[in-house]
Amino acid sequence: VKLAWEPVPPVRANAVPAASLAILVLGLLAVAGAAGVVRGVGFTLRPSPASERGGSTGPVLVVDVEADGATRVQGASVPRERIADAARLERDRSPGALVVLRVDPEASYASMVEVAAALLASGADPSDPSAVSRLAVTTARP
Amino acid sequence: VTSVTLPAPRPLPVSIPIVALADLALLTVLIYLAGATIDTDRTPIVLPAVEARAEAGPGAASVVLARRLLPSGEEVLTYRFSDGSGATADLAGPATLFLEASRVADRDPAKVFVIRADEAIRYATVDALLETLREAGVRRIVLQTRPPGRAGEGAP
Repeated sequence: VKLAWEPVPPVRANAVPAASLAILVLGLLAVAGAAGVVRGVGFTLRPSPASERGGSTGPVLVVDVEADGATRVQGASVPRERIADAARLERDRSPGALVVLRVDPEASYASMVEVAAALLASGADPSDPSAVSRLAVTTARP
Repeated sequence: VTSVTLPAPRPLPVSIPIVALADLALLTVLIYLAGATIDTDRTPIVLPAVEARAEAGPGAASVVLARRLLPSGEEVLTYRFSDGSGATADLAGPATLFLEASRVADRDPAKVFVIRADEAIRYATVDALLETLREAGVRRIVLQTRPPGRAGEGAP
């Protein structure tokens, strides 16, 4: 018996459909994961009640939110859209200062969140020596 | 001597059974969905419109603070809570919230608590809520916001 022989070509997986399927599954998982993620302003609560100075003995930068939504930085009136810039300037003078956000109890929750987000965003770059690393939120004294 | 000539062997094409894999993937998704708890909380809330960076994953606990208008015209605050593994349930008030939050924080001190509060609520109310959570042992908070330009949930 004389059998013909020829080498079997190397087995190659049909990678394109497999990749498509993998991407599809990955996409489904990503969509499912993204749907469950909530975005917002993040805080860490201190175990002890915050004082007006946040327990800090160092320099403090006080940002006030008044009942009508007006904002102040170190007592000086500053438009809300310029809060981040003003805070950055003040922190340049006192690097590492604790930023205390003092909110009037009658102010709206939205006012507080907007100012807190602006302050945090102003120091979002970790390489920025004046970055907001410590932020305390307290209510203004009535 | 008999000579037999056999045809040259042809290798079978190698292919991945896409249909079977797709069925398997679909089955896996269905099993996942059947096992997962889907929170159907749809309390109409207008969240603050702020571009924010902090994130909370799907397993985060959540506190919903909403305003509700009674037929008499009076406006009341409603509290709802979810520990992140079950559906959102109504709470009687801050005292009940303290008990629920304590239970969750005791089990997992690093648990993230998401606060979904209406943007028009007085800050004093949210401040009291934060203080209640702090006393309950909660440490990580995310104040949920919506991207600027997008209407709030349930907003007209």
